[in-house]
Amino acid sequence: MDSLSLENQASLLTVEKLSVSFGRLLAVSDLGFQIHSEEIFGLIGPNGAGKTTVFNAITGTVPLSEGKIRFAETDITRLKTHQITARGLVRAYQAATIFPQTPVVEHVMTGLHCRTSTSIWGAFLHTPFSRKEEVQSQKKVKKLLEFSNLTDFGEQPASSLTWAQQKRLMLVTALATNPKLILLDEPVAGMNASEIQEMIELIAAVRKEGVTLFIIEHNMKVMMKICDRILVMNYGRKLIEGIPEEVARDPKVIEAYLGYKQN
Amino acid sequence: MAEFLQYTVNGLIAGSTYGLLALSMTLLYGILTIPDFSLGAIYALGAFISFYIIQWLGPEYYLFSLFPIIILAGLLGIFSERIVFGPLEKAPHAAGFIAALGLYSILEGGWNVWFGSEWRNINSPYNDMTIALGPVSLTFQRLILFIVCLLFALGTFLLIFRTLTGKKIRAFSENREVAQLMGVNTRRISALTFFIGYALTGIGGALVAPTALVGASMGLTPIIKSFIVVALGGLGSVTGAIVGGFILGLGENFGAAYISSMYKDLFSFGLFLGVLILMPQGLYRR
Amino acid sequence: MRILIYLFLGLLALLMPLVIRSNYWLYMLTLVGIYIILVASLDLIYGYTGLVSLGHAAFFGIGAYACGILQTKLGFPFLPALLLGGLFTCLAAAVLGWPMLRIKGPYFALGTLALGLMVTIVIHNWDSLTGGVSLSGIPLPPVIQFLGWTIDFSSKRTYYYLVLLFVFLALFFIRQITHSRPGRAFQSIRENADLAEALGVDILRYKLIAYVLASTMAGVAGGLYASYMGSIEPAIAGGHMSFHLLVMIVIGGARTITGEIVGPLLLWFLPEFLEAAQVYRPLFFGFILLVVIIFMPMGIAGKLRSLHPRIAQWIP
Repeated sequence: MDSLSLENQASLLTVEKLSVSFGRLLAVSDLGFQIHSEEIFGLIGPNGAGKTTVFNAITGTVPLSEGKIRFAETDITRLKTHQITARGLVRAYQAATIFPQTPVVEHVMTGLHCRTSTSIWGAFLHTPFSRKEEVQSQKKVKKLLEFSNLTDFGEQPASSLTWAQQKRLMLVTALATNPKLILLDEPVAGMNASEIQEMIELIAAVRKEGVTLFIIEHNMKVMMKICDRILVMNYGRKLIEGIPEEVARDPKVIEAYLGYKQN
Repeated sequence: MAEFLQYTVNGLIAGSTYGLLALSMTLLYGILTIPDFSLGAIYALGAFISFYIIQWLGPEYYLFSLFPIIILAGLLGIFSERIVFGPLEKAPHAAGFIAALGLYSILEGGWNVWFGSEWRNINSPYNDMTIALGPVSLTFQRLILFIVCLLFALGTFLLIFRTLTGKKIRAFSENREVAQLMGVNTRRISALTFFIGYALTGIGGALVAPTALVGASMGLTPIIKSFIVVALGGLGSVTGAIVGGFILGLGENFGAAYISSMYKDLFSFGLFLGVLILMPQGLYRR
Repeated sequence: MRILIYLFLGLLALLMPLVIRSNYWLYMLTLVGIYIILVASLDLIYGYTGLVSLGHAAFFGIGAYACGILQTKLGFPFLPALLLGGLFTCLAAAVLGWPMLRIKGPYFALGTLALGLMVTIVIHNWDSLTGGVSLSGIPLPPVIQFLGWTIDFSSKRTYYYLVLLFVFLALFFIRQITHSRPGRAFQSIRENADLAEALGVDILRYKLIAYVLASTMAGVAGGLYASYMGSIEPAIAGGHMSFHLLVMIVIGGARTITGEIVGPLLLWFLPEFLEAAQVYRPLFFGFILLVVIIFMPMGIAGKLRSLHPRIAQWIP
C-alpha cells in the first residue's frame, strides 16, 4: 500500500482504466499508466493503435467511455479543454496546427492568454494594469522566441514558416501557457535530419526548464534517444511499458511492428 | 377527428415540398459543403416560368411547363457551379456561403427587374377542382403537388442509390480525392448534381405556385425551411431530407392549428433553433 | 503612422458639415454614420471572431424598438431611453446568444437568420406594443441649453455630430479591444478554434462576449436611428438589412477600420452616384459581393494593404 501511494505522489499524470469508443469502434481499451514529474514519457505503436485518441481523451477533446484521469492531484476527466490547459496540461497537435494568418509574435502571445487577465474594460480604458501586462507579455514572448530560435520570423504570418519551423512554433506557443506537462503529437514527423536534431535540442531544453513531456512518435531512433520510459500500444491496448532498451528488445513489440519499416 | 385528418393531409402536402427542396439542398451540400442559399431564387424562377407558360400558351399547359423549368433551372445550376462555386473550391467555407448569398441577391434582384415586384396569383386549371377523400378535402392542384413531389423525390432517391451515376455522386460527396482517384469525372458529376438540384427546386416552385403568392422573394421562407429540414435530417442525408420534410410539414401544420396560425412561421423557426441547439447532428447521421 | 490617418479622418468628419450645407447630404451622412457603427460591430463578430451572422440587424431592430417604445409609450427622455434600449439589447443578446453560439458550422449562420426573422415576426405581430406595421411619433432628443449654447437636435447638423460622437466611440472601442488580449482571443477563435481552446481560451465565453458587445453596439445604433427617423418598421431587423451589413463589411474589408468605414460609404453612395433605381440595388449588391468574394476576399482595405507593406502602414 505504501509503495503505491509513494508512486502516486510522484506521479504527475495518472490514467486509469481508460476506454474510448466511437459508436461500435473501440479505439482505446482499459489503458492505465502514470507519468512522473520531469520525465520524458513516450507512446508508440503502429498506425491506428489509438495513440492520438489517448491524447484526445486526456485533453477532453473526446469523451471517455470509461476511466479516470488525474493530473497533479486533480481529477480532470470531466473538465473542458481550456480548463485543463489552465491547470498546466497543454497539447501540441500532430499536423502543423497554427493560426495561419497570425504573426509569429501574436501567435506565441495567444499562448499567454490563460496566464494573463486583462479584461475588455481594461483593454478599452487602457488601464495601467493592462499596459503593464502587455509589456510583460511582450518580454516573455521575446524570450520564448529566442529560446526556440524563431526571433527572425517575429512579424511574419505563421503560415509562411516551413513545416519544421511551424512545429517549433507550436511547441513554443504551448510552452507559453506555462505548463507542467506538454503532450507532443509527432514532433519530428516530416522533418529532415538537421531539423530533427534541432527539435530534439529544443525538447531537451524544454525539459531542462522543468516541464514534463509526453510524446507520441513513429521515429524509433528519436524515441530511444530522448525518452526515459516508453509505453507501447496496439489495437487500443497497452502492450508493454518500460525503459527504451527493454521495450526495444521485447518480442511482442517486435512482432507488432513486423514488416513496419522504421528509420 | 376530421380536423385532425385534414391537418395531417395538409402537413403531408406541405412536407412533400419541403422534402423536395431539402433534397436539392442536401445534394448540393455534398458537393459544396455549404448550404446553397441561391436555391431560394430558383424556386421563384420555377414559379415565374410556369406563370409565363400559362400566360402564353394557356392554362392547359401548366404541367408541360415543368419541362422548360427543368432545362432552364438545370442550366442555371451548371452555370452557377462553373462560374460562382467552382473558383471558390479552395476558399474557406464562409466564402462559399457568402457567394451563395450574393448569388441569391443577384437572382432575386433580377426577378424583381424582369418580372416586376408585385405579388401575383397563378391559376392552374387544377386549382378549382376539389377532391374529397373521406372527411378530408383538398384541391386537385395540391394533390398533384403531393404526387409529383413524391415522384421526383422517389426518382432522385432511386438515382442516388440504385444507379452507377448515383454511386459516383455519393462517392464524390463523401471523399472527393478518393473519388477522383477511382476515376470519377468530378467536373461532370458536379455539374450533373447541380443540374438535378436546381431542376428539382425549380419544379418545387412551379408546383407550389398556384397555391401561394408568386413574387421574387417567395423563395426566402421556403429555403430557410429547407434548411430546417436538412438540420433535422442531417446535412447530406437523402433519406433524412425526405423524412425531415414531412416532419416539418406536419409539425408546422399541427402547431399552427392547435397553437396559433399567425405565428406559424415563428413556430417553424423556433423548432429549427431548438433542433440545432439540442441535436447538432440532426435525427439521422450521414 | 496610423494616428495621423485617424486624426485626418476625424478632422475631415468634424469639418464635413461646414463644407456640406445641404440637408439632404447631411441626412445621408448621418445615416452612413449609423451604418458605420453597425458594420464595425458586425466586424467584431464576423471579421475578428469568425462568426458569420445573418441576423445582426435583429439587434439593431431590438434596440431601435426598445428606445422608441420607451419614449413613445412610457415617456422616457431620449438619453435614458437610448441607454436602456442598449441595455435591453445587451440582455437579449446574452440570453439568445448563449444557446445559439453552441451551434457549429453553417448552422450557426442559418440560426442567426432564423432568429432575425423571428424577431421581425414578433415585432410585426405584437402590435399593441410595437405598433405592428410601424412605430411612429418617436421624438428627437430635446433641445439642450448648455453654457449659453442651444443644442437643437432637429437641426440635421446637430444630429450629425451626435451620431459622429458615437461613431468615434464605436471605432475607438473596436480598435482598443482588437489590439489587446481579448482581441487576440477573438482572432484565435477565427483562425483555429481547436488550437485556441487547446491553448486555454474559453471559446464559448469569448464568442459570447464578442456577440453581446457587438449586439449592444447595434442596439445603441438602433436607438439613434429610431429617434432620427421618427418612425421605424419591423423590416429594419430583417434578413435584407443583415445581408446589407454583411455585404458592407466583406466589400470594405474585414478586420480593418478602413473597411468598416469604406464599406458603408461605398455601398450607400455608389448607387446614389450611379443614379441606379432602387430596384437595381440588390442586383448591384449581389454582383459586387460575388466579384469581391471570388477575386478579392479581403475586401478593398485588405487588397490595398496587400499591395505593399509601405501602403499597409497607412491603412488602419
